Amino acid sequence: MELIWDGIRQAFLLLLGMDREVLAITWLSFQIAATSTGLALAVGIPLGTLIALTRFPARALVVSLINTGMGLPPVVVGLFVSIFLWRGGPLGFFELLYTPAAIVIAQFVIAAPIVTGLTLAAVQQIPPMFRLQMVAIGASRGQLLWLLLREARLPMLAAVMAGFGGVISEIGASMMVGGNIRGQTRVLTTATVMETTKGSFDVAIALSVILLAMTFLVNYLLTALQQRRRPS
Amino acid sequence: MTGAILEIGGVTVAHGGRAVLQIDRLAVRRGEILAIIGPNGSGKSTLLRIMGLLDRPARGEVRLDGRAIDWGRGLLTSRRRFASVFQEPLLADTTVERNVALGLTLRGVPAGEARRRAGHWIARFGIAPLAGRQARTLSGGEAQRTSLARAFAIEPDVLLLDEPFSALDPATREDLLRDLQRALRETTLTTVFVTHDRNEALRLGDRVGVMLEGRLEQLDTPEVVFGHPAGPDVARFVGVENLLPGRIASAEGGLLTVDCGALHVLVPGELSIGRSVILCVRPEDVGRVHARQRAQPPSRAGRGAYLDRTAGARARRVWSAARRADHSPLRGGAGAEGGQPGHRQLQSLGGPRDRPGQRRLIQALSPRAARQSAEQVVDDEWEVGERQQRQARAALEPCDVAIATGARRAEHLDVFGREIEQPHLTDTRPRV
Repeated sequence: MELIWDGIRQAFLLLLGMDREVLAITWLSFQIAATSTGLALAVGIPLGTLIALTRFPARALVVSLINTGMGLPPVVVGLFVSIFLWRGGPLGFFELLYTPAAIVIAQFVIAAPIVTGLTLAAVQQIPPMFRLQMVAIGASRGQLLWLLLREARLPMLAAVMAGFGGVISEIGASMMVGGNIRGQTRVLTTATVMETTKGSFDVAIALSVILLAMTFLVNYLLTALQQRRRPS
Repeated sequence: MTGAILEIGGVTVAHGGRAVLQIDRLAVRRGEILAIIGPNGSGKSTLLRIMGLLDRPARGEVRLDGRAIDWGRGLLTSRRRFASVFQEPLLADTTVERNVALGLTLRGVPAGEARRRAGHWIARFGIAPLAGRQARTLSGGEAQRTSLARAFAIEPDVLLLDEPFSALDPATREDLLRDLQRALRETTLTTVFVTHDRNEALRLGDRVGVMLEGRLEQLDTPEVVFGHPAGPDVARFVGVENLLPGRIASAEGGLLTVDCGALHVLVPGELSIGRSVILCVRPEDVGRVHARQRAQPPSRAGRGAYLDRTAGARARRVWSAARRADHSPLRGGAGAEGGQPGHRQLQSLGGPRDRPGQRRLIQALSPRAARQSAEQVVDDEWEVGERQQRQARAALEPCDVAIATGARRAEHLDVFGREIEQPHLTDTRPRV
């Protein structure tokens, strides 16, 4: 128990003491997770909406693939992104491996199916007659999309939370494509693993507490937004 | 036709090879309230979606203001001249006020103007206290009021109502129907109103169309549709609950005795003896004479005399009206005037109604019976209702005559309180 208390105390000291390295790691973690989640939203929301509103052959297969993708193991993603970004790999000439950009790519691959799948479910739960009614009172195609997304905004925020939660907490991909390079690609999760293996449990605990606090804060803000106008 | 704002022609819709809608021609006149009635699955809603430009028919044409609809670029502009209300009130997840203003917002009406117009209709439909409430906290009736206010606020050229009351309880429905009726009267909005409820059609419709199995079987004023249904199926649907197959047993002086098996019915008309007919009898059209006082039936076989609730001088008028009753051949009937026995429907046993819902004087009386009944007939008009039905049944007990039911209700009671089962009637109906 003492170990844990020490860790928590250490975490506050690191934070309050404005340990430059810890702050940098925290900030980088947030930036990478936010960027990848943002990209995943940019792709996943339109894609999920499109799939929810259209019927095409092999739709069931596509939806199944997306649902499977929601549980994609980060190490598998890390492996394949590594192979693609490897110097000799198909995208090797970008020289992105072991950069924050590589982590963003890997995390995007993890978050995009989550956002797509949850958007799909959110839009699909709106009764089809609602679409017809909106068109019947004069909604254009664009207005209809906007109305549908607005209607689905509560579950959509859940998609944002799930996407962000998925990438901020993953380690396999960040480690494999980022490499945990100090000052460059070291993020909270990879740093925690490293400190643990070094036996510096206090620092590891401090880092994990920071990670938890950040995840909580982001989710708290999104939840507040989501629950803002619930009826009493 | 002049004055038609919306016309559809040659429209066919098929699902899985089965035609669910087949309309040769239907024109909605500017400013009218057109009620479309028909049982579930008769294609009413499909028709309404085509009218609202929400579905494009596989074949056929929709014309708005005489111009064929452009299903491409111009569609949104045309569609925005309509507003629809569906059976379920489908409201956006926001306040009542914003929901009512939504149609205007979508059309780019400035916020202030949209609020003003929304406010007006919110008040008209009695939901002003709810204006700030979230739509999802509303009851069914409140939500449907919001939905109606939203459609009216748009001030569309054509208002389309698809069974807007069928999901509501009777009391709520009645209130809302009254408010809608008032709103429609004030705005003179062209309205197409789809319902399976005959009373709603009768109350709201300037014209009534009857749809059966995807076809528009009859389209006319409520008086004609309810008084002179175009065929037995229409008759059955518009609430002539007693369809009695029979055969003309005798004909004299414009008065026919129809042998319906268990009973004989006197009706005015000119048909030759031996013809198969279907009598369409509305309970509210039936009068009676007490058995001990009844007129002598003109036919030896007759068991009953009938049918007048009037007294005094009016009886004579009934009789002359009855003589004028018209009989048009059954649609699709095999040669009513041809070689084989045609099947005709004796329609509307009397003159047309003065106005929808008004009770009519009725039925057939021989001149002698008319005279007698003028003196003897018992006042037997009854309102529809449980109590009245009981009374009616009790009052009719000593009478020989059959045919009397709760008007426009599902009950099928004859005088003796037996159920008249429609399947039985259907089975015995002479085949065309």
